[in-house]
Formats: sequence, structure tokens, C-alpha cells
Amino acid sequence: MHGLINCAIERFVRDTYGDQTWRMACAAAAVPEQKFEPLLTYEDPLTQSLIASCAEVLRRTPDEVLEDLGSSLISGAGDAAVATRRLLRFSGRSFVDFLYALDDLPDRIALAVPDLTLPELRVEEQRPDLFYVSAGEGWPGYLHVVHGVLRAMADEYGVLVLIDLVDGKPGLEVQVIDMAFTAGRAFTLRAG
Amino acid sequence: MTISSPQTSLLDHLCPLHAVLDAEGQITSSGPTLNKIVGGDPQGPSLDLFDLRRPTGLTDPQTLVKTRTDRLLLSPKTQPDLKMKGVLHPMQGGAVLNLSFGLSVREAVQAYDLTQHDFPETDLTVEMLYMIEANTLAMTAAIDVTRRLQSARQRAESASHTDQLTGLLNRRGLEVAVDALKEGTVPCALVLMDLDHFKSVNDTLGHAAGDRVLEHVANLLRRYTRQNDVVARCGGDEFTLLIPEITAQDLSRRLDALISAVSAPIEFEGQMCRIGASAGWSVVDAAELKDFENLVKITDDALYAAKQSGRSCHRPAQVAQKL
Repeated sequence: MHGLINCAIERFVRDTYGDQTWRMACAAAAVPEQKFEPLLTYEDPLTQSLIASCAEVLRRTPDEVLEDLGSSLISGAGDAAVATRRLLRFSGRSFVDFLYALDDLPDRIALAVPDLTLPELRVEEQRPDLFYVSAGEGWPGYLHVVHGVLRAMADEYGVLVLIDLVDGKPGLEVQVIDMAFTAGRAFTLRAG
Repeated sequence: MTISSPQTSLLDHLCPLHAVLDAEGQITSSGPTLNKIVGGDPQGPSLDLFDLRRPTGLTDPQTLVKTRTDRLLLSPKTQPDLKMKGVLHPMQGGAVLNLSFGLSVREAVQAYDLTQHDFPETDLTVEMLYMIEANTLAMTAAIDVTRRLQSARQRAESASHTDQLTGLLNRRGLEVAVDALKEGTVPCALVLMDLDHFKSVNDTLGHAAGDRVLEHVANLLRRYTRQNDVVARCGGDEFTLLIPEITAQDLSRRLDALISAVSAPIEFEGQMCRIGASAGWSVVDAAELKDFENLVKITDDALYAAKQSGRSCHRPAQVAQKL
């Protein structure tokens, strides 16, 4: 797994639950040095066991941890979240534009970090206000991270949405309830 | 030039940074993003709003329309530092001028507070701004890693006790060893040894030969000392030995053998390097080690005496003679 992914997990756990929780999760997953380098690559099973041990330490399911991770990538208070939400805002002028642009998300991320390959995302418009988002193979639990990201991005755009896992189907259903629920967060092309 | 309203709407949508010029070079209509950068809905001579950088020497807007030049370089008078690119498309009774921010796009976005809506959907400007921002972040991460690696390396180097070339102790390693011996109670010999003619090997056969000689001497020193003896290279061709529990007689014999071994020619890439070694030494008890600085001084005098008496020999320091 790309070091950036592991760094994102580290930042999420440290910022949300504190260093003590992070150390406990690392000890359980046998993470060497209890930290990750963003530009190195690590074995996939290490990331999987890290997520499992985070879930255990936090007494939550891995799916819930991943969803919160996705949402913290966007909504967090730190510089990292500011950077991520800015980069994602470049992909669409409105939340619906953003949903359509999810098809391009792996390419967009590869433009920024060439060796970071994300599973593909597919978006189908079922009704003008109803979308079905599914993910390619590769990263177990990836769709839960996407779930959290979509929830947080809807907030960014000021849109009220319902996002649910559909029984018997592998994807997420995104229902847009109100396109102008709040003003959303201002976005300019101007870099910080 | 007059242009129909469907055409205007088409241009506004696809080329928001355009101006329609009549045959006199007067602006008759313009796109929404252009209006944003010139401040309002401009009418009148096009060159009142821009400084033309290329083609040079052209000041008359009427000539501009007629030049049929394809590549324009111009700066808006509101932001003279921006270097915009332009293309002029001649039409019946005038021309359409379409502009781009070129490499000044970041500054332009900053100066005019432009948004995604100011660029047509097909324009890659927004993707480029994304790239610039993503690149800056990636670069920051890379610089951060490099800086941490560098400082880790510096810390490791400054904490090192070993001479990289020979694997002997360096000056720092020697200091630590001396401190340990000062704590103890065993008598000890200090030997300061310099190579003879080393400089001429370096000068005539090069530094690689010099390095080979130093490695060779280091190996000899290891062979002629015991496990617990301290052997250090303190820069250049100076070696320091601390040998616990040895009599002056034994030490003298051992140095005879060592110096004779060092004096044997060393082969380097077909050339023979001939060096020798001179040494000064002292045998002291643990208490005398406490003033190590003074001990080094008198032993160094003995080394000097050895060099004075023809090199390739060793001399005891004054203190050793008293013992």
C-alpha cells in the first residue's frame, strides 16, 4: 500500500483519538517505528491489520473506521484536509459535477502522485437526483472510505444528501435531497 | 464589425476571454472573463486596454487588425506584469481576438479572483491549476523527506566513532576510549605514529594510492595489536594507539616489528609505494592518564625526536624513561 494511505490513517487516528490510541493500534498491528513515510510503499497486509487493530482499539467495526477516515480526509481541521478538499473541489463546480467526475478520480490522483493507483470508481445516474456509485476490486473496504468522502464533500458543496449501502448490491446509492441546503464552503482557484 | 447575437453568445460561452474588433481595431463586444480583467464592458480602441509586447512597434489598433499576425503577446494595463497570449482571427469587417493567460495563469487567478466559471469547461486551465497545487504539495512532502534523511545522516555521522576509510576509531572514538581508560586502574602505553613519505605517495601516485596505503597500514596495526588495544586514526596519516598493561620492553619490540612491516613496499596498480613510520611513545599508570593532554604533548615531542633522528624508528617520551 502506498505510504500516503498509511500516513492518512495515522493522521486520522492521531488527530481524532490521540497519540496514545495510535500507539496502541500500532503495537497491535506490529507497525515498525509506529510511523509511516509518505513516499514509500508498504506491504498491503500491514495496512489491513492496522485497520483491524484500529477498529479493535476504538471498539468499532472496520467499516465504520474507514468511513470516518474518508470523512476526516475532507473535513479535518489540519492543513492536510484543507489541501485534499481543495484538490477535490477542482474536479467539479457543483456536487453533481463532482459525482460525475468520480469516474476520473483515479486519473486525477495519478496526475498528482503517479505511483498511487486507486481502484476505479463508476457512477451511474439513475434519476437526476439519484446516483449509484460502485468501486473496482483491489482495496477491501474502499467503498466505505468513498462513503465518508462523499458525505464530507456534500457538506463542502452545501448539499443535503442521503448515502446508503443498497441491500444485495456492492455499491452506494447517493440521493440528492437539496442542492442548495447551505451555502457550502467557499472555493476559489486561488491557492492558499 | 457587427456580429449577430447568436454568434456573440457562442463566443461568450466558448471563448470567454475574447474581444470582437471592427476594422478600426475598436472593441465592439467582449466576453465575460475579458470584461472581468479589464474592469467593465470595454468599448473603444483595443490597444487602450493592453500593451502589445509582440509584434513590437505596433501602436495603432487599425494596423493590429490588418497585421494578420497569428501570435500576439500582450499585457493588460490593469496588470502589466501578466503575459497573455493572443490569437487574432480575421473576419469580414474586423477580427476576433481570443486571449489566454499562458504561463501567467496563477498570477491572473490571484489578481482577478477568477473562478471555475470564468473558464470554459473544455479549457484545461482548471486542471493545470490543480496540477500546480498538487505538485506543490508533492514537492513539499519530498523536500520534507529529504531534509529528514539529511539530518538523520548528519546525526549518524557526528555520532560515529569509526573512521570511514580504515574502520579504525576516529578522534571521537579515541576520546571515548581514553575516558574509559581514565576510569580504570590499569597502566597503559600511548603511541603516536606518523607515516614517513606519505605526502610524496599522495603527490606522485594520487589520493587513491594514499588511501590504499592507509588501509594497508590500518591492517598492519590490527595485526600487531591485541583485541583490547585501542587503535585510532586521527586524520591524515596520524595514528594513535593505547595499549594497556604492556612493559616498555615489550612495546619497544612490538614497535620495531610494526615499523619494519610498514616499511615494506606496498603495491598499488603496478606501482610500488614506499613509506615508513616514526613513533613516539610513553608508558604510564592510570593516574597519569588523567592529564591526557600533557601526555600527548610529551609523547608528540618523542615522535618529533624520532623523526629528527632519521625516521623509521621510535623514541620513548621523557616520562617513560622515569618509569
